[in-house]
Amino acid sequence: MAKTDENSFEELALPHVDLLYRVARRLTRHDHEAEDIVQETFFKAYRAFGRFEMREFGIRPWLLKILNNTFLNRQAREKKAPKSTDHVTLEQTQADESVISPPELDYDHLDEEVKQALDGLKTEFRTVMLLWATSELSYQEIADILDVPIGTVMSRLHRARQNLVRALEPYAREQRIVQVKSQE
Amino acid sequence: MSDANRHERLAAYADGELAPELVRDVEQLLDRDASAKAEVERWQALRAAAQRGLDNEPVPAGLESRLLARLRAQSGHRGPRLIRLGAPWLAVAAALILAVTYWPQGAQATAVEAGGFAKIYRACAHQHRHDDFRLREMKEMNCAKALAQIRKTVPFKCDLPDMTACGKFYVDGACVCAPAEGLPVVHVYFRNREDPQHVVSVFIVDRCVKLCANGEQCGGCCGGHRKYVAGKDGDVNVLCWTEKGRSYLLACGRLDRHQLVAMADNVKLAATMNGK
Repeated sequence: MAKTDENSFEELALPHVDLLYRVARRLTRHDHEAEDIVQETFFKAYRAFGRFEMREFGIRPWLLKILNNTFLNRQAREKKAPKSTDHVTLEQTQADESVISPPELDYDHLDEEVKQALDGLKTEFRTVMLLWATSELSYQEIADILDVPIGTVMSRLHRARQNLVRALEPYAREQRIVQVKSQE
Repeated sequence: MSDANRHERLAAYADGELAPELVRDVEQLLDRDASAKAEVERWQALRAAAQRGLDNEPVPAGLESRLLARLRAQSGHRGPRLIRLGAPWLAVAAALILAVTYWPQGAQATAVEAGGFAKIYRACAHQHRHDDFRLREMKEMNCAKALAQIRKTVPFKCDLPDMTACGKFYVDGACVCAPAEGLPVVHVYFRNREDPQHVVSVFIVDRCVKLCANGEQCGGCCGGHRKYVAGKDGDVNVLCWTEKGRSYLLACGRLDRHQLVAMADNVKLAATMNGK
């Protein structure tokens, strides 16, 4: 790789190290594994940088795509690959459950509860929610990163959001009980 | 609209992702139904909480430096060998490589004339009042909507400044006009509620910038908790600092350097904006 490419790779890619680590850490739930994945991601990106086109979204979605593939490959190697939920199953599951909206809570002070609820999601839902949580990503960018149609992103997001909201409901109930007791 | 459709549409609207043909219907619903409006706010709050959870995930100290050292070692044709970054001996080795290779990095910062930023401050914020993101048209513009609007277009993570502690400023517009060709910039300008002629421009540059005047690097100055480089063009003072691998600049024709430093010290980089 030419020296100028090397410099521009560093300039473009390194500012995203922290984000990549955070996503990797939340995917793997393991410090060292997350670091390894980030390192592998950067090596792969560095080697493929000559083929990278800036396009409209910049380098971040490209790096996240490599990171996600690296994570999935590792999971497959370790025979821990998540069982994919096919579309039919997903639709059936949705049909069985009513659609709900987020409970009334003080979300400014719920970071830890939301984080735990997210960490409890299945890998494919957790991945889409983590990408959604990096709020500068559009649905189309998430679809590009995951290499799935945008409709799949929307249905996974819907399902993941519903799981997240359900996971927060016990906390909302607890809060309401506390409020009622304090009023008594 | 069924309940399921309603929740999904409100969630998509909160994300700024609702199909354009449905936006009008949802906005009419929001006008007449306070519970729908509250639901949109809860979806946004949930996403913000999820984002904070991600942003607060601690990153190991020195990760970027170690990675940089490994990348440079690899580019020296020493074959990529996957090793655990956390190993103590590697940290020492990485530090040694870093000491040799990293420090010249400062020279790679892009030199930009302070006058370029001052010109954008005068032209975009005062004369043309550029508003590429149509923030002014947004009905009941709030912080989250403005931020989402900008982030839909800008191809880098744009930590917009929180000016809450800087006085009664609101976001009046934003554009991507750059003082040099190819420089990835977002220019957001804030207007004072009580004095509409008092405007402060904030530039977020997706790379490190070396602020210059007539080709010479501008001088540094210290604030309460940041180090700045200060430049001047006519009556416009420009202040630059680098944080998280990006450069941030303030430009203002009303404030002298000391006042601008005091203001910059109060600026927090956050995913929020001080909306109108």
